[in-house]
Amino acid sequence: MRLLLVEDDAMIGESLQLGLGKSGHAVDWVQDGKRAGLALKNDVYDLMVLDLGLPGKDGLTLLREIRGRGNEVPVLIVTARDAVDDRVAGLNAGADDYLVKPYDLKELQARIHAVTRRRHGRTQPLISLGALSLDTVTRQVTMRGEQVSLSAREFSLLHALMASPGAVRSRRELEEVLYGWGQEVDSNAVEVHIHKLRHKLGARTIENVRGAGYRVADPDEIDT
Amino acid sequence: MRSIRNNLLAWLSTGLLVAGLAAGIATFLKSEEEVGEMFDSQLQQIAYSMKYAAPAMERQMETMATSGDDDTDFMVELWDAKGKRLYSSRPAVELGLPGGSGFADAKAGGKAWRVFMLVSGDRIIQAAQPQATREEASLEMAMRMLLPLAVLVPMLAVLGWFGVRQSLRPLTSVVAEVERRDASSMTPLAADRVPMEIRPLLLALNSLLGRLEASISSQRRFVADAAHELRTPLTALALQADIIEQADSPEERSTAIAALRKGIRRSSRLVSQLLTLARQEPEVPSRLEPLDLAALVEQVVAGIAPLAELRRIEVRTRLAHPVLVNGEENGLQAAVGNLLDNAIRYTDEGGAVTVTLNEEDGQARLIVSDTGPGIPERDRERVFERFYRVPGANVTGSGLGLSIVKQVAERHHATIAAGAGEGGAGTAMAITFPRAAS
Repeated sequence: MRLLLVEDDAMIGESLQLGLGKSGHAVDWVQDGKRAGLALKNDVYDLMVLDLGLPGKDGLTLLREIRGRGNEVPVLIVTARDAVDDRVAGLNAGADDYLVKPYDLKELQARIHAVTRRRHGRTQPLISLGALSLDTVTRQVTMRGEQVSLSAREFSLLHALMASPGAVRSRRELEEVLYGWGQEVDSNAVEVHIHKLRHKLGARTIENVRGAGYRVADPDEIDT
Repeated sequence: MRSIRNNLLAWLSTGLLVAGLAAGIATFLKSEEEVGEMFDSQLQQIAYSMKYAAPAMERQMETMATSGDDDTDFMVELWDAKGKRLYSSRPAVELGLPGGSGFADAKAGGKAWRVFMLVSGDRIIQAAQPQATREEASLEMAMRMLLPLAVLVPMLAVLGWFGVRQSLRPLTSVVAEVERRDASSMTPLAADRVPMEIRPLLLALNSLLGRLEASISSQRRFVADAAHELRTPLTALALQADIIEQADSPEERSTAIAALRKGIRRSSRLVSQLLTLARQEPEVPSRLEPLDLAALVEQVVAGIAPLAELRRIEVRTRLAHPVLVNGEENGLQAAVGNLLDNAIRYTDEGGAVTVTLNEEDGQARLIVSDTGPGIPERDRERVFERFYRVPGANVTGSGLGLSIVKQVAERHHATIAAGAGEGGAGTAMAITFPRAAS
């Protein structure tokens, strides 16, 4: 998933970028509301992690503004303000969830996944297509009941494809899932990872739509 | 314990008693005088009436002598010029001739007598009366006059007791109101319906309550702010620990551990800054003593030299010697230290920090200027607010340094201002101390 991290504290920002990046997310990190607003215009993010106490434009104002513009990106608020009124204000401004500092990486990741699941209309963390299933929480992938070991990037790619079965995702889109800003993009990284996925899951699992991109195959196709 | 009521009652009853006694004595003396005058004039009249009766008395001496009534208070005597008693209404009493004409006191038959002598031709007429009769009469008169006073004194005492109790009732209700309060209720006590004697106490109490409330709410705000601010470095620590756990290589691990150490240093710095700030709270009493600010600045500059060296920043000093101010050593050290620390941290490597201390017109002035990025004009007031950080600054500070400096300055009745450094570049922080009272 590609995440926008809005956090003014350098230490927290660095750690989150590193930690979330390690679990296969592409993380773009900005330190103030103005830059966050600009970044969101790209409309490439699966989720925004938003700190409320920002210099200049504060988090709640930013959230109300983007919701006012019709931007529906899922938003997870992280903040040191823990009063009930603050939470209510955050949720009313259009946040999907609310996490109070101090938190750790696992809790943040669980919340990120819960928010995206809810957004895709799923309450179960499991996405299944025929014999192939992917658990967004435990990050485990099984094929015909057997566990398949995937790297963080391979998992992210598969997750992106399985989140909208049947839809074609362009190479460019998939690159954005894998890389944040400033990260050097390997020109054929997507191809390399798709190749590895096919090797591990079976060549038919992921289809190449010439000139358009990739998609996961129909469940029947996967089962055969 | 001293009781206002008992005190008032004691004074009141003592006053009444003394007044009663004085009134009694005065009444007695006055009535004695009046009774004396009255009886004296009676004696005189008796004597004068005898003057005309004397020739007849001489003739009927025998019969009159027997008809003398012993119970009569008065006695009359008739003497001739040779000193022979011709007649006495009470022959048993040997009065003699105690004085010349007019009034005299005499003793006879074991009694004190009041005597009036009237000389009429070759006869002397004496009228006398026992002093005891006179005293009895004056005592009786005094008693009659004292009777209402005897009723009045106890009545006044009882009235006074009730009056005192009644007047102290508002005090009781104030006590009850104060007792009903819990520790958090700082609303002022109603002072409009209390007697003016208690009013100043209530007003003083209300003003104390007001100050207490301000102090408590400022501390509460401080604790809440502190807890809130501690959450950020704690989050960083939690995340940095997670990163160490996930590190795949020794290099990654050691980078992560270095980051964690930095996070711990930052948290401890925040905690110690919070403590310094708490010690410099306006409510904490300050004890200002004359000290040499120049020596103190030199000491702080020496202490911060390693940090300056690490960041390759030259610290220059231009200090006048000595500069005496009324100050508190610990507070001033914290303030100067924070100013220098800020200047060094926010200035790029290779820059310079200048500390200037001079005295103008008896006012000591300390300026710390740097060659850093400077503070935008709109932020120059806000930088002294707690936890305010200049947006865009790439140094992770506690947001407390300058508020500590400001609080210390305020405790010293000094003013602090942020401005541009020398030549309009960088930052200059200036503390101006008040004229030291010699």
